[in-house]
This record gives sequence, C-alpha cells and structure tokens, in this order.
Amino acid sequence: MSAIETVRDRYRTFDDQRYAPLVKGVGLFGLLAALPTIIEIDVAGMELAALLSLKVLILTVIYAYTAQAWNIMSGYTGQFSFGHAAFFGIGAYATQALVVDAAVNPWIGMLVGGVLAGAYGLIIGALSFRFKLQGHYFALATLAFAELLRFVVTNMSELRGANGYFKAFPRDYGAEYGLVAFQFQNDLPYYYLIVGFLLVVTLVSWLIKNSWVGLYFFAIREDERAAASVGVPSFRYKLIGVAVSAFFTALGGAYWSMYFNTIRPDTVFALFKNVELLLPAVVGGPGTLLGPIVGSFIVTPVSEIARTTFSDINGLDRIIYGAFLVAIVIYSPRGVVSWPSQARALWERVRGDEEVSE
Amino acid sequence: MSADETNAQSVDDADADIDRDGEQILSVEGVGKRFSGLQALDDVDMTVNRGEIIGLIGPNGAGKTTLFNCISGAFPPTSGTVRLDGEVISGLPAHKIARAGLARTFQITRPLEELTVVENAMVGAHIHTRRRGEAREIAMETLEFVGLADKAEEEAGELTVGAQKRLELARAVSTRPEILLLDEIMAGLTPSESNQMLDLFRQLRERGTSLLIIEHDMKAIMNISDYVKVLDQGKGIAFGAPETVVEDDRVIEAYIGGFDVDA
Amino acid sequence: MGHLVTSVAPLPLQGGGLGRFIDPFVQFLTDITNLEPVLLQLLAFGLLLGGVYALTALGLTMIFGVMDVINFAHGVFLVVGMYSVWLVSEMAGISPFLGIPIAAAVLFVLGVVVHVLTVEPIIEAPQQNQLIATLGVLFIIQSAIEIVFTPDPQQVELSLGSIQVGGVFIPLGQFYALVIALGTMLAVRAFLNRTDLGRKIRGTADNRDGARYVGINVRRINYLTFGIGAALAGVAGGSIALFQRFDPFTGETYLINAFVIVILGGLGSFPGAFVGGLIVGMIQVFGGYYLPGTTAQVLIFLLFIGTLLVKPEGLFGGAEA
Repeated sequence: MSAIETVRDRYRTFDDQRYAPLVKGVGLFGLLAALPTIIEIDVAGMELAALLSLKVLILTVIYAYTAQAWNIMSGYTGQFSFGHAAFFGIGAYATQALVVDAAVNPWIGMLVGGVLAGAYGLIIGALSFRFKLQGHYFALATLAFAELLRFVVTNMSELRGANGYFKAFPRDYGAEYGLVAFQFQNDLPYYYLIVGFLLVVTLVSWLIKNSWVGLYFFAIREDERAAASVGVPSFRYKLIGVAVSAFFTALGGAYWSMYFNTIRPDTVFALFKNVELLLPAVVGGPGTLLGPIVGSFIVTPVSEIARTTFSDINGLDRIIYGAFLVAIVIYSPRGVVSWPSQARALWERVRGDEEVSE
Repeated sequence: MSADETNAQSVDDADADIDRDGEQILSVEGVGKRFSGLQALDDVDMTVNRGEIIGLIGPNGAGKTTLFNCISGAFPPTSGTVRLDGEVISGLPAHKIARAGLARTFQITRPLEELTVVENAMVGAHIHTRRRGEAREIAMETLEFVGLADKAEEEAGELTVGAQKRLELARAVSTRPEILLLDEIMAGLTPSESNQMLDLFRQLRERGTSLLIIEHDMKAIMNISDYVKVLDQGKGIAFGAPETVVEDDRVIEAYIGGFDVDA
Repeated sequence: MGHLVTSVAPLPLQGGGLGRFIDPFVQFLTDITNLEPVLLQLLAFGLLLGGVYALTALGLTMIFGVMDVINFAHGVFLVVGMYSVWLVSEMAGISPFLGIPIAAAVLFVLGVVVHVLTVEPIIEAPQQNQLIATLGVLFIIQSAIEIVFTPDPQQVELSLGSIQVGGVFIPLGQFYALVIALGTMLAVRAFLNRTDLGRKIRGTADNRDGARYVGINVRRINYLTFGIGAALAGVAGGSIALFQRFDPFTGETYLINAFVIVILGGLGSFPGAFVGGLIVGMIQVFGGYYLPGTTAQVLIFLLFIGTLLVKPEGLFGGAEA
C-alpha cells in the first residue's frame, strides 16, 4: 500500500467520525483567524502581505459571507437569484439611515435591515413562486426587483437620493470605537468581525443541510413535482429559503456600510453587485458548504490583485477578471470543490484501465 | 345515493353488484378533467378498499395517467370529487395529499439525482418525523424491503433503470401510505425484476397498503389484481374481476381499436 | 470624494409628501384636457426613442428566443457598434451611414467568435453558467474598449439638424435611426419568414429537439443566430451613434431596457419588441417630462415585474422569430 493510499484511508476513517465536521470547521476558521498573521510572515524576503493586504482579506471574507447566504436560497433550493443586491442594499441602507438620521445603534439597524430584507424576499418569493416563474424568468424577475429598489432609492430624498449616506462617527450615536459602535480605528478587528459573521452563516447553513429542511431544499432543487408527491410543501420551503438568505445577505450589507465610508444606490444596489454577491458560490460549487468560501478566496483576490498589479492600465484587471469568469464556468461548471472528487474519479479510471490491461 | 344514480353508475362500469370486502380507502366520484377543449377524463367513478390491488387498464390515451394526476393532486380535476378515508382531497395540493396518506410513483422515474439513494427515501420518511436519525431508519427499512440497501450511499442519478424503478417505489413507500398509485413501474424491467416487483406488491398488500396500478403488461396485471378498472377515451367502461373484464364486449372493442392485448 | 456628499442638498425636484406622486398626474391630465402642444412633441420623442429601443432589443430577443440564452454581452455589443461607426467615419472619413453595415459585419464576426469560445461549450450547462460566461465577455470587451479608446465619451461628427412638422420638432438623427429600426425589423422578419434558413431558425426556436430530429444542423443555427443577433446589436449601436454621445459603459442602461422590452413584447417576437420598445420609450419620455428624477424607470420596472408575473409570454406571446 502506497503512502498516498494510507493517507487517503486514514482520512476516510476520520471522515466517518461524528466529530469530523467540528474538527474541519475549527481547522478552517482557525486558518481564517490566523491569516492576517500568516500574510505578514517573511519568506525569503517576500511577504505575502505585499500581494494580499488585510483589506483584500476583508473583502474576500465579505464575499464569502454573502455567497454563503446566497447559497442557502439558490444553491440549496435551486431558485437562482440574480437580485441579491436588493437585500444587501436594504441592509446597508437600513443601518445607515437609522444611524445617521436617528442615531440608532448600527447593530439594531442591522437587524431591522435583516427583517426588512426578509420581508422583501418573501414578497418576491410569494409573487414569483405563486406565478410559477422558473429559470431565466425567475432570474430576470429577481434582477428587476433589485433594479427597482435602486431607482426607488435614487429618487427618494428621504434616503438622500443618488448621494447616499456618509458614515457617522461613533460619538454621533452615543458610542465609542469598538464592537458596540460597530466601528474600529484599524482593519484587524473588522477582519475578525466578518470572520465571525461568516462563522455564523456557515453554522446556520450546516444546521440547515443536516436537518430535514436541507433535505427538503435539495429535493425541491432536484425535482419539485417528485418532492411534492412525497409530501414536501415546496412553496413554503422555497419561501423559507428566500427569507433566511435575504436576512443574512442584509447583515452583510450592514457590515459593508459600517466598514466603508459611503454607500450610494449605485454601489450597494449596483447591477454588478448582484453578480459579485453570488459569484464565489458558483465558482466554488453551488449547494456546498465549502464552495462559497473557497470560491471567494479564488475570485476576490484575483480581481483585487489584478487591480493593484495593473493599476497603470485602467481596465486590464477587468479583462483578466472576465476571462477568469468565462474559464471557470467552462472548465468547472460544478465548482472548484468538485475537483478532488473528479480527480479521484479520474485516478480510479486510470487505475481501472491498468488493472484491465494487466 | 338515490336508486337512479346507482343505476347510472352500474351502466358504465357495473361494479354495483360486486360484493367487496374491507373499508373504503379511496373513492373517485364523477371525476372529469378538461384540457383546453379536450375532455381527457369524463365522469369517472371508482373505489379502492383497504388491502385491495386494483389494476387500471385501457388503451393509450385512455386517461389513466391523467386520472392519477387528478387523484394525487398534480392538478385538480375540473369536476367531481376524490375522497381519501372519507375526506375530500380533490383540489388539495400534491404535498397535502401525500401527507393524507396517498403516495404515487411516476411513469418516467423522477429520482432526485444528486441526492443519495437513502436521502431520496428519507425525503418521503420525513412526513412522519423531523428527526434525521428516525427518517434514516424508516428509509433504510424501505430500502431493505425493495432490495436497494446495499446501494444506499450511491447517487440516485447513477442507478440502473431497474434500480431507479425500485427507488421510485421506495421513496413512495417511505411515506408509509395507505394507498399507493403505481404508474407503469414495471415498464422496462426484465422478467425476473418484474416478478420481484409483483412479489413486493403482494407484501405491501399484506401490510395493509392498497395499490392502484397502471400497467401495460396484461399478464402481470391479470395475475396480481383483485379487480380491474378499464378506461377508454376518458370514460370508465368496465369494472370487475380480471377474468370477467376480459370477456366484456366493450373492453374487447376498445382494445381492438389500437392496443395489442398480449403486450 | 465621499466627504463632499453630505453637504449636497437633496435635489429640489425630489420634494417630500404625497404630492410628488399625485401632482405629475394631475399636471398630465390638465395638459391632455387643454390639448397642450407639448403632448404632440412628447409623443414624437417617445416614438423616436421607442423605435431605437426596439432595435436594441431585436438581437437580444432573437438569441433568447432561439437559443434560450440570456446574453449579458448584448449591451457591450451595442457599444462595439457605436465605436465601429465612429471609427469608420473619423479615421476613414466614410459616411457614418455606411458605417452601420460595416458595424453589422464586425459584430457578426465578433458574435460568432464569442459564441464559439464561450457559449457553445456550455450550451447544455445550467442556465446561470451561460449568464456568467456572457458577463465575463461583457467585462472583457468593455475594458478592452476602455483601454484602447479611453473612458471618455466620443461623438460622431455629424450635424443632421432637425425638421419641423406641424409645430413638432423632429431631430433628424433620431428620425433616421427610427427608419433604420423599422427597415431592419422588416428585413429580418422577411428573412425569417421567407428564406429556407430563416424557417430553420424559427423551427429551432419552436422546438430544439424537434429541429434536431428533422435533420436541422442545430449547431450551425446557433452560430448564425448568435452572429445575426450580434449584427443586429451592431446596427442598433451604429444608429444610436448617429445622434448620441457614448462611452464604453453606455451599454448598461440599454441592456437593462432591452431585457424589459424582450419580456414585455414576448420572447422572440419582433413586433412584440417594437411595441415593447414604444412602451418603454413613451414611459421614459413622458415620465422624464412629468416625473422627478429617474422615477420613470421605477414605472418601467414595475411594468416589467407585472408582465413577468401575469403574462411571462409577453404581449405578443409565443415565439414569432
């Protein structure tokens, strides 16, 4: 037995243990927590930090978070949403409007945003599912609901129209820099906070996947009629998926609005925000727990590194990003996390052929 | 029910004088279905009692699958009533009908492809419990029953046709239904697989499950069914024990018009 | 730049209260009862804009209808058309009108290349993959234009002036674009209805598997459809360049409105696209006049959502193309 096989068998034994998910989760999030330190380690005079700043790490985890939230609806129940910017924007705007205009603590604003987004999701879902929109039509409808909000907000002076909000200082809402204020004076606490967000949404996803709810979600994704024939109330469960997904996406928007200084309709409700929010999940592997996280660590740094590396030629980064998108959907339609199992299948086929030829 | 109505019913499928045992599980009363101008089902009546196996036969396009769809809630009938255990179920959505105790399989199998075999069966089992462990136990029992336990962890999409048919059955049986509607579940099976399937039907009946079966294999259906209901052009034309039905003039006439009896 | 934002007062037009929803409609009704001449002018502008919008939607509706692919690169195809006409007239000194067929040819080739490289490999994959692939194409082409021609707006040097018909002012650039739109629409309809190839394309739109079954080379039809769809975007972009400034990012607004028009008019329907274009054009022109800011766009999206829900097959349901 070769060394590789021994390792593989040991891994399989480990994988069967009840505690395996816990160990993997602790490992993954331990690694995420250590990343800011790791990128500063000096290897042969080169620091990873030169390429991968803390700011890029924060962006990466933000999109891992939003993709994980998107995944609950679109990856699990199979209802492909192209309008998650609606929920993201609601979270950002609810937080800022309450903080700036009413001096309400951002954590409360965030929850208000989450509930509002959930409600908007329920409206979108109830209408679309009642009228049986599917495939492209459903995707276009969700996009339309997001674009609708962009124009509504742009034209509402109460929400400061196209100008948007500029983040308030903590003292303006009776707090000091720190967790309570949702504002910090440097990036490191922001990083740990978004890792915490990611941990929560990943935990929720794991709980869903490992309960009847997740099984119902997957059954609906695979074949709604077959699912209904064995008692799955698909309308209700699709709504649950939308609401949960919208709620968590809005929390991401709230975080965004507290990390960056300004929000405008053209940033948080932007047409391409819809894409950015979901892309890591599609790249990593829709419907999987690890996919959105792995996907974001591939997509986000690529676009950020391209942006900083080719900063002298405006637009070159987007060409690289675009080519990357095309390549990833052509060569890995089921996502990066399917690579190990595909490689294993290939390996077994090769080995199988060898055995036959012997 | 007035004497006239009873009479009217006995004219079209003559089941009034048949003496059947057991309590009534399913009753289909005057069910009709219209699709934009086409009358697919017209005033169909039939009943299924507990523990019975009823065969539903008829030439292609007779409306058998349409009747299944009306009963199981895939779409509502345009007229008439369906009762399960005395409760009206017509017009309810499919998932509620499944929860009321009626499960079905599909003519073209619809495995939940990217789920494993046991997960497919668990979806049905979750009708009874929200606990994953319990659902898994129920699912494994039914997989044992249909003989798929050794394939429990395989992806459903990878199964052979024969195994997919058994999975289709297992998923429905996992809901522990009072009555099972089986739509050509033996089509495409080898003779030995078909025999195993017939054996499963008998075991299900022994457990108290009623079966309503659409099948093209006349030999199998005549062999297994207690009674046979014949549809032609959306209407019930005969009902009775298999041996009497095959001698009915109207049945013979319907079948000569485009259906080979020994198929 | 964000630091300045808070000091800017809200636009005076965006006043609060319910009045802002009611007043414009009161104004509109008053104008109608008074038979204000401005209505006729707005109608003319709506017609002109609607015709151009219809033209921008033709290629999209064809690709969507025949191949069931949402082409996100359609907006940037329009932009390529605009730059083609601009290049031809600026560099080679050829009339911009002659530039339009050149733009169509350029886009046909580009469309086929894009199709072969990105869409064809995943034509059977989940629909969202096609969406993301065409989005990638959008980024690539848009940024390439930005690098080569800078992000600054460009303009075709062409002063066509305007005419007055019965007190209505008609800018000729937009008028010619409308004529081109109508001509193109009729030509493509004739192609689809009268020629053998056109009938094959329509057959494929109706039923892909059936088309394959009767021996139509669906692969070839896909090439052609994507190429023709892109070429139509070239004609549309070229026509817009006759009267409007543009930059590499102009395509985005046209893309979104083209989606609305395609759904409004019905998938694959050319007359539908024309009516859909008129509706969107009219709402924008009248809304722009009576409503504050970009509120008209809110109406357009409400109409879009309503159509998707109630009549997803569109006003002219069924695949006409």
